[in-house]
Amino acid sequence: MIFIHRLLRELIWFGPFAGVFFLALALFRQGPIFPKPGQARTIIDAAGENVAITQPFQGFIPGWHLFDVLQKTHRPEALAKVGVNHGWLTERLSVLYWVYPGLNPGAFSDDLESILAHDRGYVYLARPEVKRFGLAAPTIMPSGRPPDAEDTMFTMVRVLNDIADQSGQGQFIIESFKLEKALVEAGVEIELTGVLPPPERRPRTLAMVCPDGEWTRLWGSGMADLKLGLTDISDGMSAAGRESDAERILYMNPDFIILRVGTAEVFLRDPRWQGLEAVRRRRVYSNITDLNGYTYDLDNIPGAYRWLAELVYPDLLQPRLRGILRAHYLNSYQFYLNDFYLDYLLQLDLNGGSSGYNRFERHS
Amino acid sequence: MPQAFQNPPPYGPRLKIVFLNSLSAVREFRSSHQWFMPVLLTLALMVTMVCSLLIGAYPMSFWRAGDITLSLTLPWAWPEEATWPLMELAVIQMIRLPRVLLATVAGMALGLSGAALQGLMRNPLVGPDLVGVSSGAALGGVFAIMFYWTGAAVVAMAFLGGLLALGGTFGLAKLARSADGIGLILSGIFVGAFCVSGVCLGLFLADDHQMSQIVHWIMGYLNEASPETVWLLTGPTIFGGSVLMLLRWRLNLLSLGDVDAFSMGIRVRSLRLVIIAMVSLIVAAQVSVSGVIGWVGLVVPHCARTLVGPDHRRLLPASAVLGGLFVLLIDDFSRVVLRSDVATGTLTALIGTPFICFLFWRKRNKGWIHD
Repeated sequence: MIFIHRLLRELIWFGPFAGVFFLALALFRQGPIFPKPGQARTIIDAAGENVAITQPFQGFIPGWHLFDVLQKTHRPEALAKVGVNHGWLTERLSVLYWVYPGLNPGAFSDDLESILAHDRGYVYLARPEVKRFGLAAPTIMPSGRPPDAEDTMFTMVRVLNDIADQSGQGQFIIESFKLEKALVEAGVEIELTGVLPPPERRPRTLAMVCPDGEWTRLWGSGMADLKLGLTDISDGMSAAGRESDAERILYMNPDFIILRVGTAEVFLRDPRWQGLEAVRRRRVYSNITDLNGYTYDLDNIPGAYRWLAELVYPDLLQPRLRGILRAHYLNSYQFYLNDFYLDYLLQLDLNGGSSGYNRFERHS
Repeated sequence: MPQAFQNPPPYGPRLKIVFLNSLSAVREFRSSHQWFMPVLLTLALMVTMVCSLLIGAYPMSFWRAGDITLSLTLPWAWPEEATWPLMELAVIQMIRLPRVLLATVAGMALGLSGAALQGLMRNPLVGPDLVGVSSGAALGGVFAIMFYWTGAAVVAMAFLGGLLALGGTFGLAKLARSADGIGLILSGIFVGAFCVSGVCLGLFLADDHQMSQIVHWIMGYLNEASPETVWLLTGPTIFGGSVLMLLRWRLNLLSLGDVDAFSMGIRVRSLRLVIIAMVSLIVAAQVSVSGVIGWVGLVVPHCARTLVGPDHRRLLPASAVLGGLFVLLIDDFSRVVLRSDVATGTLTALIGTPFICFLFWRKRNKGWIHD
């Protein structure tokens, strides 16, 4: 009797473990299987998979893809009024907020349970894990970094517009972009024909990020591929750390520096860089867009091409950038960019101290 | 001023007597009703787990959630004709259940291993994170991530890392002829620092994807709970925990000192090795699925000791249950109140550090350092 009593007294301590184990057995139960939605359209996403979009379509919950939805569908009403309140994106998108003054996305809690509480008609662009709950979470960007950034953009345009049930609009955006880009490139080519300096005297350019922060870093820019005859001196290099990259930049001594992040004014004041040729001649510029960056900026790529061309060949090209940007916004968004918007888009305040940047001002 | 206010009666000592009397009454009750504490702790844990399943961000009635939870846990059909929406079932079964289980088992693993380590080293200042096990397991896991290994390979590498780190701590303390006092803590700090530097090197060498994985992991998150991660943790915890539970009375003898334990027939060296291996296995499994969750293994055994006393036969399971409760409640707070995925490791440290500071102040260092 005493033995049994002692045994029970020992065994009782195993109670909690048994309880947890018992509860864990529930994990073996068959999980719910979600039927396909009754009213749905099927699209093919960037990964080549069929995705059912529940009807009526309620909008995108874009996560980091807010930029893409606005630029690549031209349909702000497709944005769900939830989940798109990202600070730095909002700042970068100021022009598009002016274009669409009614756009006022609010924040929402993006934990999984909150997401599941929403209507099934929403499409989630950055939450692949919701697929197992039968929700639409198509892949809009091909996996990996494709050799051609334009292919990626076009895939995104196609998928986003298919989801929003406006395939024709997608095709229009792609064709407009191609035409605009070709026109800008041809314009530059014509103006430079016969007047380009010999290869050994062409500008040596460098792209980098965060020069005024803790993270100086080289960045492959793709500027050598732009048919402008530029030499991208950091081509093929990868970032190696703040100090190492700073020393490499000082050694390479580029003629032009394009800052992907950071302000030219601060860079020009930094004592570290005072020995650089580009700094002495004040040829340091804050980039107006990502030429080959991670946002694949559909609106600004043709304009950015002209921007770079005019900066590196200021004596050979006429200042036409303001007109090009104005025409683009009018064509794509039926929106007239006034001078205030244009000054903002060209980041005149960030590049005020840089050589030749006044060509982009209104009086030029 | 009246005389009575100038010379107040000595309430302090009287209150102290009342307090001590009540404490001794509690102790008396505890010794005469030894079934009370395990039943209370079991009930507390089970009720908290079930309540955790019933609350969350998804708008669902309490009773509906209760029905679904019953249907999942009872071996028979409940109710006969289930009518709840699939999404509600999915929320309980696919989101809340794995997370609640992962939080509970991770806390149990840490509480159990912390109590075992404190008994083994006869030092209430040690915990898996202070003797380098957590850092070692993290380094092993980072190594696996750098080579794109997944699943069991990460657990295996974390186990190896934890084992080597604990062995290193112990070896270093032995070399310094201070294996059970401040020397052990210092050795743990040295070994932990070395492992942390290895983790930082891994962060430097990692690509963007690996880096986010490593950072996520180091901070200690429970938001990637799934049935697979639960079993990946539960398996080693059941095995290691069972061995520790079977050895827990030997830990009592070990706490008398090596010579006394040996004179009572305990093979001290083998016992130490087995306990170290089991603790490493448990901590490695915990670190590999939910990252480094600090302070639980250090703080929880102290709380358990006040409830059940220093006897390891009761201290080990009580620490496990309290650890499970602690981490589960913290995760509930993050999940339900904060509505965001604040790293669990951060919250446990935020609560655990002031608590251990309070204990340090209350005990005035007594019994914490032998050297």
